[in-house]
Amino acid sequence: MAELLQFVFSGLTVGAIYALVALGFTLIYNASDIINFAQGEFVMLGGMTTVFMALAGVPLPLAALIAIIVTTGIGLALHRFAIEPARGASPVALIMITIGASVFLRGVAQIVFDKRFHSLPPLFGADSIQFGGAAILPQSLVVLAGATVIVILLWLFVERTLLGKAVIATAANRLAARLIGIDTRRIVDFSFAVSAAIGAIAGILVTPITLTSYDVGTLLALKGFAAAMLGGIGSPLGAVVGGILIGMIEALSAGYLSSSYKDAVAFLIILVVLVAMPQGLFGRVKVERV
Amino acid sequence: MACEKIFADLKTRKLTTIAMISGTDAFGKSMRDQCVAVAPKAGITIATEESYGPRDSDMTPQLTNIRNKAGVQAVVNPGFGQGPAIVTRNYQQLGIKLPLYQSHGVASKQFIELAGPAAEGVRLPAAALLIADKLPAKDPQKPVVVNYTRTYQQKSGQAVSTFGGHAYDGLMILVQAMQRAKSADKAKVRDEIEKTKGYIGTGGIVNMSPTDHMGLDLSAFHMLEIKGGDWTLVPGT
Repeated sequence: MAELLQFVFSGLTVGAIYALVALGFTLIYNASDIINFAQGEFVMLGGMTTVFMALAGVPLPLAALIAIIVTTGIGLALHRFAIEPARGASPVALIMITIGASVFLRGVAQIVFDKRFHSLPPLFGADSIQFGGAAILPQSLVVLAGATVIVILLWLFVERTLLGKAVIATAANRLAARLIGIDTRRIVDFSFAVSAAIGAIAGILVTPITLTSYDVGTLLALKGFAAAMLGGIGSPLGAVVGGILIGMIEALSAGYLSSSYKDAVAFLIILVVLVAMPQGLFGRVKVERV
Repeated sequence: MACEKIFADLKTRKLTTIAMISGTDAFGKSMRDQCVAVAPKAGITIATEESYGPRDSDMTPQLTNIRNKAGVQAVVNPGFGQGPAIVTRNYQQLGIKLPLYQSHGVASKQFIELAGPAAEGVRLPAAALLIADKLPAKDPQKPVVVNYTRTYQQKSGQAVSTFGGHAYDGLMILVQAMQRAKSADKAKVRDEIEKTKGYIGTGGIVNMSPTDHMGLDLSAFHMLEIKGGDWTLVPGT
Protein backbone atom coordinates (compact mmCIF):
# COMPACT_ATOMS: atom_id res chain seq x y z
CA MET A 1 0.00 0.00 0.00
CA ALA A 2 2.82 2.36 0.87
CA GLU A 3 4.34 1.73 -2.51
CA LEU A 4 1.15 2.70 -4.37
CA LEU A 5 1.17 5.94 -2.42
CA GLN A 6 4.82 6.50 -3.36
CA PHE A 7 4.03 5.93 -7.03
CA VAL A 8 1.11 8.36 -6.75
CA PHE A 9 3.38 10.98 -5.15
CA SER A 10 5.96 10.48 -7.90
CA GLY A 11 3.21 10.82 -10.50
CA LEU A 12 2.01 14.02 -8.87
CA THR A 13 5.55 15.44 -8.85
CA VAL A 14 6.26 14.72 -12.49
CA GLY A 15 2.67 15.48 -13.51
CA ALA A 16 2.72 18.88 -11.87
CA ILE A 17 5.83 19.74 -13.88
CA TYR A 18 4.18 18.68 -17.13
CA ALA A 19 1.00 20.57 -16.15
CA LEU A 20 2.86 23.80 -15.55
CA VAL A 21 4.65 23.51 -18.90
CA ALA A 22 1.40 22.57 -20.68
CA LEU A 23 -0.31 25.70 -19.38
CA GLY A 24 2.10 27.78 -21.44
CA PHE A 25 0.70 26.37 -24.66
CA THR A 26 -2.91 27.32 -23.98
CA LEU A 27 -2.90 31.11 -24.21
CA ILE A 28 -0.96 31.36 -27.46
CA TYR A 29 -3.13 28.65 -28.97
CA ASN A 30 -6.25 30.45 -27.79
CA ALA A 31 -5.17 33.73 -29.31
CA SER A 32 -3.75 32.54 -32.59
CA ASP A 33 -4.13 28.78 -33.22
CA ILE A 34 -0.35 28.44 -33.11
CA ILE A 35 1.38 25.70 -31.12
CA ASN A 36 4.46 27.44 -29.79
CA PHE A 37 7.21 24.81 -29.69
CA ALA A 38 9.59 27.34 -28.19
CA GLN A 39 7.57 27.07 -24.98
CA GLY A 40 10.10 24.60 -23.57
CA GLU A 41 12.84 27.15 -24.13
CA PHE A 42 10.85 29.72 -22.11
CA VAL A 43 10.88 27.24 -19.24
CA MET A 44 14.61 26.74 -19.70
CA LEU A 45 15.29 30.48 -19.85
CA GLY A 46 13.33 31.09 -16.65
CA GLY A 47 15.40 28.54 -14.76
CA MET A 48 18.81 29.27 -16.29
CA THR A 49 18.53 33.06 -16.08
CA THR A 50 17.61 32.83 -12.41
CA VAL A 51 20.56 30.49 -11.74
CA PHE A 52 23.04 32.75 -13.50
CA MET A 53 21.72 35.94 -11.92
CA ALA A 54 21.98 34.25 -8.52
CA LEU A 55 25.55 33.10 -9.30
CA ALA A 56 26.39 36.71 -10.18
CA GLY A 57 25.31 37.73 -6.71
CA VAL A 58 21.77 38.94 -7.25
CA PRO A 59 19.44 37.93 -4.39
CA LEU A 60 17.21 35.04 -5.40
CA PRO A 61 13.75 36.75 -5.48
CA LEU A 62 15.14 39.60 -7.58
CA ALA A 63 16.91 37.11 -9.84
CA ALA A 64 13.62 35.28 -10.38
CA LEU A 65 11.85 38.54 -11.20
CA ILE A 66 14.54 39.54 -13.68
CA ALA A 67 14.34 36.09 -15.27
CA ILE A 68 10.58 36.43 -15.75
CA ILE A 69 10.94 39.90 -17.26
CA VAL A 70 13.74 38.80 -19.61
CA THR A 71 11.81 35.74 -20.77
CA THR A 72 8.66 37.82 -21.32
CA GLY A 73 10.74 40.17 -23.46
CA ILE A 74 12.04 37.24 -25.48
CA GLY A 75 8.50 35.95 -25.94
CA LEU A 76 7.44 39.35 -27.26
CA ALA A 77 10.48 39.47 -29.53
CA LEU A 78 9.62 36.00 -30.83
CA HIS A 79 6.20 37.23 -31.84
CA ARG A 80 7.29 40.57 -33.23
CA PHE A 81 10.29 39.39 -35.21
CA ALA A 82 9.50 35.82 -36.15
CA ILE A 83 5.76 35.20 -36.13
CA GLU A 84 4.23 38.56 -36.97
CA PRO A 85 6.10 39.09 -40.25
CA ALA A 86 4.85 35.69 -41.41
CA ARG A 87 1.30 36.14 -40.22
CA GLY A 88 -0.26 35.23 -43.52
CA ALA A 89 1.37 31.83 -43.60
CA SER A 90 -0.38 28.59 -42.78
CA PRO A 91 -0.40 27.40 -39.17
CA VAL A 92 2.03 24.61 -40.06
CA ALA A 93 4.56 27.13 -41.36
CA LEU A 94 4.16 29.19 -38.20
CA ILE A 95 4.69 26.12 -36.05
CA MET A 96 7.88 25.40 -37.96
CA ILE A 97 9.00 28.95 -37.26
CA THR A 98 8.53 28.33 -33.55
CA ILE A 99 10.58 25.13 -33.82
CA GLY A 100 13.31 27.14 -35.54
CA ALA A 101 13.11 29.72 -32.77
CA SER A 102 13.43 26.92 -30.20
CA VAL A 103 16.64 25.65 -31.83
CA PHE A 104 17.96 29.21 -32.03
CA LEU A 105 17.25 29.94 -28.36
CA ARG A 106 18.89 26.68 -27.34
CA GLY A 107 22.01 27.56 -29.34
CA VAL A 108 22.21 31.05 -27.85
CA ALA A 109 21.72 29.61 -24.36
CA GLN A 110 24.76 27.37 -24.81
CA ILE A 111 26.90 30.40 -25.49
CA VAL A 112 25.41 32.87 -23.04
CA PHE A 113 25.12 30.40 -20.20
CA ASP A 114 27.05 27.13 -20.27
CA LYS A 115 26.46 23.46 -20.91
CA ARG A 116 26.38 22.23 -17.34
CA PHE A 117 23.54 21.29 -15.08
CA HIS A 118 22.39 23.70 -12.43
CA SER A 119 19.96 23.69 -9.60
CA LEU A 120 18.06 26.18 -7.50
CA PRO A 121 17.38 25.87 -3.79
CA PRO A 122 13.88 24.56 -3.09
CA LEU A 123 11.46 27.01 -1.52
CA PHE A 124 10.71 25.04 1.62
CA GLY A 125 13.80 22.97 2.20
CA ALA A 126 15.07 19.73 0.71
CA ASP A 127 13.69 17.33 3.32
CA SER A 128 10.81 15.32 1.99
CA ILE A 129 7.48 15.15 3.75
CA GLN A 130 6.73 11.65 4.99
CA PHE A 131 3.11 10.64 4.71
CA GLY A 132 1.66 7.16 5.00
CA GLY A 133 5.07 5.55 4.45
CA ALA A 134 5.79 7.52 1.30
CA ALA A 135 7.84 10.64 0.70
CA ILE A 136 7.02 13.74 -1.31
CA LEU A 137 9.11 16.85 -1.77
CA PRO A 138 7.59 20.13 -0.55
CA GLN A 139 8.66 21.61 -3.88
CA SER A 140 6.28 19.22 -5.70
CA LEU A 141 3.42 20.72 -3.72
CA VAL A 142 4.69 24.20 -4.61
CA VAL A 143 4.63 23.28 -8.30
CA LEU A 144 1.07 21.94 -7.96
CA ALA A 145 0.00 25.07 -6.12
CA GLY A 146 1.62 27.22 -8.79
CA ALA A 147 -0.25 25.38 -11.53
CA THR A 148 -3.55 25.77 -9.66
CA VAL A 149 -3.01 29.50 -9.13
CA ILE A 150 -2.20 30.02 -12.80
CA VAL A 151 -5.27 28.07 -13.90
CA ILE A 152 -7.50 30.15 -11.65
CA LEU A 153 -5.91 33.40 -12.83
CA LEU A 154 -6.26 32.39 -16.48
CA TRP A 155 -9.89 31.45 -15.96
CA LEU A 156 -10.64 34.73 -14.20
CA PHE A 157 -8.83 36.60 -16.95
CA VAL A 158 -10.79 34.98 -19.75
CA GLU A 159 -14.19 35.07 -18.03
CA ARG A 160 -14.11 38.35 -16.17
CA THR A 161 -11.95 40.83 -18.05
CA LEU A 162 -12.52 42.63 -21.32
CA LEU A 163 -9.01 41.85 -22.47
CA GLY A 164 -9.69 38.17 -21.89
CA LYS A 165 -12.82 38.35 -23.96
CA ALA A 166 -10.84 40.10 -26.67
CA VAL A 167 -8.37 37.18 -26.70
CA ILE A 168 -11.21 34.70 -27.22
CA ALA A 169 -12.70 36.90 -29.91
CA THR A 170 -9.37 37.03 -31.74
CA ALA A 171 -9.15 33.26 -31.63
CA ALA A 172 -12.70 32.78 -32.84
CA ASN A 173 -12.45 34.99 -35.89
CA ARG A 174 -9.55 37.30 -36.42
CA LEU A 175 -11.14 39.41 -39.13
CA ALA A 176 -14.34 39.94 -37.16
CA ALA A 177 -12.33 40.92 -34.11
CA ARG A 178 -10.44 43.52 -36.08
CA LEU A 179 -13.69 44.82 -37.54
CA ILE A 180 -15.05 45.58 -34.10
CA GLY A 181 -11.92 47.46 -33.12
CA ILE A 182 -9.76 44.88 -31.37
CA ASP A 183 -6.07 45.38 -32.11
CA THR A 184 -5.35 41.73 -32.87
CA ARG A 185 -1.63 42.32 -33.13
CA ARG A 186 -1.55 43.60 -29.55
CA ILE A 187 -3.64 40.66 -28.43
CA VAL A 188 -1.27 38.09 -29.88
CA ASP A 189 1.71 40.13 -28.50
CA PHE A 190 0.05 39.89 -25.13
CA SER A 191 -0.57 36.17 -25.39
CA PHE A 192 3.08 35.48 -26.27
CA ALA A 193 4.27 37.67 -23.41
CA VAL A 194 2.02 36.00 -20.85
CA SER A 195 2.86 32.50 -22.10
CA ALA A 196 6.55 33.33 -21.85
CA ALA A 197 5.99 34.56 -18.30
CA ILE A 198 4.10 31.37 -17.41
CA GLY A 199 6.98 29.36 -18.91
CA ALA A 200 9.53 31.31 -16.90
CA ILE A 201 7.59 30.83 -13.66
CA ALA A 202 7.33 27.13 -14.47
CA GLY A 203 11.09 26.99 -15.00
CA ILE A 204 11.82 28.68 -11.69
CA LEU A 205 9.46 26.42 -9.76
CA VAL A 206 10.52 23.08 -11.28
CA THR A 207 14.30 23.61 -11.39
CA PRO A 208 14.79 22.54 -7.75
CA ILE A 209 13.35 19.14 -8.76
CA THR A 210 14.40 18.60 -12.37
CA LEU A 211 17.70 20.54 -12.46
CA THR A 212 18.20 22.75 -15.49
CA SER A 213 20.58 23.02 -18.39
CA TYR A 214 20.53 24.61 -21.81
CA ASP A 215 18.59 21.75 -23.38
CA VAL A 216 15.92 20.82 -20.86
CA GLY A 217 13.42 22.63 -23.04
CA THR A 218 13.16 19.91 -25.66
CA LEU A 219 11.81 17.05 -23.62
CA LEU A 220 9.73 19.28 -21.37
CA ALA A 221 8.05 20.87 -24.38
CA LEU A 222 7.32 17.46 -25.85
CA LYS A 223 5.75 16.11 -22.69
CA GLY A 224 3.99 19.39 -21.99
CA PHE A 225 2.57 19.45 -25.49
CA ALA A 226 1.39 15.86 -25.14
CA ALA A 227 -0.26 16.83 -21.85
CA ALA A 228 -1.93 19.84 -23.46
CA MET A 229 -3.21 17.70 -26.35
CA LEU A 230 -4.50 15.05 -23.97
CA GLY A 231 -6.35 17.58 -21.88
CA GLY A 232 -7.64 19.49 -24.85
CA ILE A 233 -5.46 22.20 -26.27
CA GLY A 234 -6.73 25.64 -25.40
CA SER A 235 -8.19 24.62 -22.06
CA PRO A 236 -6.12 25.55 -18.99
CA LEU A 237 -7.93 23.02 -16.83
CA GLY A 238 -7.31 20.45 -19.53
CA ALA A 239 -3.60 21.25 -19.53
CA VAL A 240 -3.33 20.62 -15.80
CA VAL A 241 -5.46 17.47 -15.86
CA GLY A 242 -3.56 16.19 -18.89
CA GLY A 243 -0.22 16.86 -17.23
CA ILE A 244 -1.11 15.11 -14.00
CA LEU A 245 -2.64 12.21 -15.90
CA ILE A 246 0.50 11.65 -17.96
CA GLY A 247 2.66 11.94 -14.83
CA MET A 248 0.54 9.36 -13.05
CA ILE A 249 0.55 6.95 -15.98
CA GLU A 250 4.33 7.21 -16.22
CA ALA A 251 4.90 6.68 -12.52
CA LEU A 252 2.49 3.75 -12.27
CA SER A 253 3.95 2.13 -15.40
CA ALA A 254 7.47 2.57 -14.06
CA GLY A 255 6.43 1.08 -10.76
CA TYR A 256 4.16 -1.76 -11.78
CA LEU A 257 5.15 -2.63 -15.35
CA SER A 258 8.67 -1.81 -16.41
CA SER A 259 10.67 1.35 -16.08
CA SER A 260 12.02 0.93 -19.62
CA TYR A 261 8.59 1.32 -21.17
CA LYS A 262 7.06 4.08 -19.10
CA ASP A 263 7.41 6.69 -21.81
CA ALA A 264 5.97 4.30 -24.37
CA VAL A 265 2.92 3.60 -22.20
CA ALA A 266 2.25 7.30 -21.70
CA PHE A 267 2.42 8.07 -25.40
CA LEU A 268 0.32 5.01 -26.24
CA ILE A 269 -2.46 6.25 -23.98
CA ILE A 270 -2.24 9.64 -25.63
CA LEU A 271 -2.59 8.05 -29.04
CA VAL A 272 -5.65 6.08 -27.92
CA VAL A 273 -7.34 9.15 -26.42
CA LEU A 274 -6.65 11.25 -29.48
CA VAL A 275 -8.05 8.61 -31.78
CA ALA A 276 -11.20 8.28 -29.69
CA MET A 277 -11.53 11.97 -28.76
CA PRO A 278 -9.41 14.16 -31.06
CA GLN A 279 -10.24 17.29 -29.16
CA GLY A 280 -8.79 15.86 -25.95
CA LEU A 281 -10.57 15.52 -22.63
CA PHE A 282 -11.70 19.12 -22.11
CA GLY A 283 -11.25 20.60 -25.55
CA ARG A 284 -13.86 22.39 -27.54
CA VAL A 285 -15.17 20.40 -30.46
CA LYS A 286 -14.61 22.41 -33.59
CA VAL A 287 -17.83 22.74 -35.48
CA GLU A 288 -17.81 24.18 -38.93
CA ARG A 289 -20.99 25.49 -40.41
CA VAL A 290 -21.23 24.65 -44.06
CA MET B 1 36.48 -2.26 -15.78
CA ALA B 2 34.64 0.19 -13.57
CA CYS B 3 32.17 -2.61 -12.81
CA GLU B 4 35.03 -4.89 -11.83
CA LYS B 5 36.34 -2.25 -9.44
CA ILE B 6 32.92 -1.77 -7.88
CA PHE B 7 32.36 -5.52 -7.55
CA ALA B 8 35.79 -5.97 -5.96
CA ASP B 9 34.90 -3.33 -3.37
CA LEU B 10 31.54 -4.98 -2.74
CA LYS B 11 33.25 -8.30 -2.08
CA THR B 12 35.60 -6.63 0.41
CA ARG B 13 32.53 -5.36 2.26
CA LYS B 14 30.97 -8.85 2.03
CA LEU B 15 28.04 -7.66 -0.10
CA THR B 16 27.10 -10.05 -2.90
CA THR B 17 23.53 -9.28 -3.93
CA ILE B 18 22.91 -5.98 -5.67
CA ALA B 19 20.28 -4.05 -7.57
CA MET B 20 21.12 -1.93 -10.58
CA ILE B 21 19.39 1.23 -11.73
CA SER B 22 20.79 2.39 -15.06
CA GLY B 23 20.34 5.33 -17.37
CA THR B 24 19.17 4.38 -20.85
CA ASP B 25 21.71 6.72 -22.42
CA ALA B 26 24.66 5.19 -24.29
CA PHE B 27 27.04 5.32 -21.33
CA GLY B 28 24.55 3.96 -18.82
CA LYS B 29 23.44 1.17 -21.08
CA SER B 30 26.93 0.12 -22.07
CA MET B 31 28.16 0.11 -18.48
CA ARG B 32 25.10 -1.84 -17.39
CA ASP B 33 25.79 -4.45 -20.07
CA GLN B 34 29.40 -4.70 -18.92
CA CYS B 35 28.37 -5.11 -15.28
CA VAL B 36 25.94 -7.87 -16.17
CA ALA B 37 28.69 -9.62 -18.15
CA VAL B 38 31.34 -9.57 -15.38
CA ALA B 39 29.01 -10.15 -12.42
CA PRO B 40 29.06 -13.99 -12.39
CA LYS B 41 32.86 -14.10 -12.48
CA ALA B 42 33.07 -11.56 -9.65
CA GLY B 43 30.61 -13.58 -7.58
CA ILE B 44 27.95 -10.87 -7.58
CA THR B 45 24.26 -11.60 -8.05
CA ILE B 46 22.07 -8.94 -9.63
CA ALA B 47 18.72 -9.34 -7.88
CA THR B 48 16.76 -6.75 -9.82
CA GLU B 49 17.25 -4.06 -12.42
CA GLU B 50 15.52 -0.78 -13.13
CA SER B 51 16.15 1.95 -15.65
CA TYR B 52 15.37 5.60 -16.20
CA GLY B 53 15.54 8.00 -19.12
CA PRO B 54 18.53 10.34 -19.03
CA ARG B 55 16.22 13.36 -18.76
CA ASP B 56 13.79 12.01 -16.18
CA SER B 57 13.17 14.13 -13.14
CA ASP B 58 11.94 11.59 -10.63
CA MET B 59 13.14 8.04 -10.05
CA THR B 60 11.19 7.24 -6.89
CA PRO B 61 9.03 4.51 -8.47
CA GLN B 62 12.11 2.58 -9.59
CA LEU B 63 13.86 3.07 -6.26
CA THR B 64 10.73 2.03 -4.39
CA ASN B 65 10.72 -1.25 -6.30
CA ILE B 66 14.39 -1.75 -5.46
CA ARG B 67 13.76 -0.97 -1.81
CA ASN B 68 10.97 -3.54 -1.69
CA LYS B 69 13.03 -6.31 -3.30
CA ALA B 70 14.15 -8.74 -0.62
CA GLY B 71 17.84 -9.53 -0.22
CA VAL B 72 19.30 -6.48 -1.96
CA GLN B 73 22.45 -5.40 -0.13
CA ALA B 74 23.73 -2.54 -2.29
CA VAL B 75 22.69 -0.49 -5.32
CA VAL B 76 24.81 0.39 -8.37
CA ASN B 77 23.85 3.29 -10.63
CA PRO B 78 25.51 3.38 -14.07
CA GLY B 79 24.68 6.70 -15.59
CA PHE B 80 25.83 10.09 -16.76
CA GLY B 81 24.75 13.69 -16.44
CA GLN B 82 21.93 14.78 -14.18
CA GLY B 83 20.28 11.36 -13.79
CA PRO B 84 22.65 10.05 -11.09
CA ALA B 85 22.28 13.29 -9.12
CA ILE B 86 18.51 12.90 -9.10
CA VAL B 87 18.78 9.17 -8.27
CA THR B 88 21.03 10.05 -5.33
CA ARG B 89 18.61 12.70 -4.07
CA ASN B 90 15.62 10.38 -4.43
CA TYR B 91 17.63 7.66 -2.66
CA GLN B 92 17.93 9.87 0.39
CA GLN B 93 14.31 11.05 0.20
CA LEU B 94 13.08 7.48 0.34
CA GLY B 95 15.36 6.82 3.29
CA ILE B 96 17.19 3.91 1.66
CA LYS B 97 20.19 3.11 3.82
CA LEU B 98 21.93 0.52 1.59
CA PRO B 99 25.34 1.42 0.16
CA LEU B 100 25.05 3.30 -3.14
CA TYR B 101 27.69 3.05 -5.83
CA GLN B 102 27.91 5.55 -8.63
CA SER B 103 30.00 5.25 -11.77
CA HIS B 104 32.88 7.34 -13.03
CA GLY B 105 30.29 9.19 -15.11
CA VAL B 106 29.76 11.45 -12.11
CA ALA B 107 33.44 12.15 -11.48
CA SER B 108 33.13 15.89 -11.17
CA LYS B 109 32.42 18.28 -8.29
CA GLN B 110 29.16 19.18 -9.98
CA PHE B 111 27.70 15.87 -8.92
CA ILE B 112 28.39 16.63 -5.26
CA GLU B 113 26.91 20.12 -5.67
CA LEU B 114 23.76 18.88 -7.35
CA ALA B 115 23.16 15.88 -5.14
CA GLY B 116 23.86 17.90 -2.01
CA PRO B 117 23.92 16.16 1.38
CA ALA B 118 22.48 13.03 -0.24
CA ALA B 119 25.92 12.36 -1.77
CA GLU B 120 27.48 11.58 1.65
CA GLY B 121 28.76 8.03 1.77
CA VAL B 122 28.33 7.37 -1.95
CA ARG B 123 31.23 5.39 -3.43
CA LEU B 124 32.51 5.45 -6.98
CA PRO B 125 35.51 4.27 -8.97
CA ALA B 126 37.48 7.19 -10.33
CA ALA B 127 40.89 8.14 -11.59
CA ALA B 128 43.55 9.41 -9.21
CA LEU B 129 43.08 12.94 -10.53
CA LEU B 130 40.20 13.67 -8.19
CA ILE B 131 42.24 12.97 -5.07
CA ALA B 132 45.57 14.35 -6.27
CA ASP B 133 46.55 15.82 -2.91
CA LYS B 134 45.47 12.78 -0.94
CA LEU B 135 47.52 10.24 -2.89
CA PRO B 136 50.34 8.55 -1.01
CA ALA B 137 53.69 10.22 -1.79
CA LYS B 138 55.12 7.11 -3.48
CA ASP B 139 52.29 6.93 -6.04
CA PRO B 140 53.86 7.36 -9.50
CA GLN B 141 50.83 9.28 -10.68
CA LYS B 142 51.12 11.88 -7.95
CA PRO B 143 53.45 14.38 -9.69
CA VAL B 144 51.44 14.22 -12.91
CA VAL B 145 48.03 14.74 -11.33
CA VAL B 146 49.15 17.40 -8.85
CA ASN B 147 50.76 19.34 -11.67
CA TYR B 148 47.70 19.02 -13.89
CA THR B 149 45.36 20.06 -11.07
CA ARG B 150 47.40 23.15 -10.26
CA THR B 151 47.71 24.27 -13.88
CA TYR B 152 44.03 23.63 -14.59
CA GLN B 153 42.79 25.48 -11.55
CA GLN B 154 45.06 28.43 -12.27
CA LYS B 155 43.92 28.71 -15.86
CA SER B 156 40.24 28.06 -15.44
CA GLY B 157 39.43 28.81 -11.81
CA GLN B 158 37.36 25.65 -11.65
CA ALA B 159 37.81 22.31 -9.91
CA VAL B 160 39.25 19.52 -12.05
CA SER B 161 37.18 16.68 -13.35
CA THR B 162 38.42 13.41 -14.77
CA PHE B 163 36.89 14.29 -18.13
CA GLY B 164 39.40 17.07 -18.70
CA GLY B 165 42.12 14.71 -17.51
CA HIS B 166 41.13 12.09 -20.08
CA ALA B 167 41.30 14.69 -22.84
CA TYR B 168 44.74 15.77 -21.63
CA ASP B 169 46.00 12.17 -21.57
CA GLY B 170 44.66 11.53 -25.05
CA LEU B 171 46.37 14.61 -26.43
CA MET B 172 49.68 13.82 -24.74
CA ILE B 173 49.71 10.22 -25.93
CA LEU B 174 49.11 11.46 -29.47
CA VAL B 175 51.85 14.09 -29.21
CA GLN B 176 54.38 11.62 -27.84
CA ALA B 177 53.49 9.07 -30.52
CA MET B 178 53.93 11.69 -33.21
CA GLN B 179 57.30 12.67 -31.76
CA ARG B 180 58.42 9.03 -31.76
CA ALA B 181 57.15 8.47 -35.29
CA LYS B 182 58.78 11.74 -36.42
CA SER B 183 55.92 12.29 -38.83
CA ALA B 184 52.20 12.87 -39.01
CA ASP B 185 51.57 9.93 -41.28
CA LYS B 186 48.44 8.22 -40.02
CA ALA B 187 49.65 4.62 -40.17
CA LYS B 188 52.98 5.40 -38.53
CA VAL B 189 51.40 7.44 -35.76
CA ARG B 190 48.90 4.66 -35.05
CA ASP B 191 51.69 2.14 -34.82
CA GLU B 192 53.52 4.36 -32.35
CA ILE B 193 50.41 4.90 -30.26
CA GLU B 194 50.03 1.16 -30.02
CA LYS B 195 53.58 1.00 -28.65
CA THR B 196 52.87 3.41 -25.79
CA LYS B 197 54.33 1.88 -22.66
CA GLY B 198 54.44 3.18 -19.16
CA TYR B 199 52.86 6.54 -19.98
CA ILE B 200 51.86 8.04 -16.64
CA GLY B 201 48.71 10.04 -17.21
CA THR B 202 45.96 11.57 -15.10
CA GLY B 203 43.79 8.55 -15.81
CA GLY B 204 46.34 5.92 -14.91
CA ILE B 205 49.43 4.23 -16.29
CA VAL B 206 48.91 3.45 -19.94
CA ASN B 207 50.36 0.38 -21.66
CA MET B 208 48.91 -0.06 -25.09
CA SER B 209 49.22 -2.92 -27.55
CA PRO B 210 47.76 -3.76 -30.97
CA THR B 211 44.93 -5.63 -29.25
CA ASP B 212 44.51 -3.26 -26.27
CA HIS B 213 43.68 0.27 -27.28
CA MET B 214 42.69 1.38 -23.81
CA GLY B 215 45.90 0.49 -22.03
CA LEU B 216 44.58 0.80 -18.51
CA ASP B 217 44.07 -1.89 -15.94
CA LEU B 218 42.25 -2.02 -12.63
CA SER B 219 45.00 -0.05 -10.90
CA ALA B 220 43.93 3.02 -12.86
CA PHE B 221 40.78 3.22 -10.78
CA HIS B 222 40.72 4.10 -7.13
CA MET B 223 37.62 3.63 -5.02
CA LEU B 224 36.52 6.99 -3.70
CA GLU B 225 33.95 7.84 -1.08
CA ILE B 226 32.23 11.20 -0.78
CA LYS B 227 32.69 12.59 2.73
CA GLY B 228 32.02 16.10 3.90
CA GLY B 229 31.25 17.25 0.36
CA ASP B 230 34.66 16.14 -0.95
CA TRP B 231 36.33 13.11 -2.46
CA THR B 232 38.22 10.79 -0.10
CA LEU B 233 40.23 7.70 -0.95
CA VAL B 234 38.98 4.40 0.42
CA PRO B 235 42.14 2.96 1.98
CA GLY B 236 43.82 0.14 0.14
CA THR B 237 42.20 0.68 -3.27
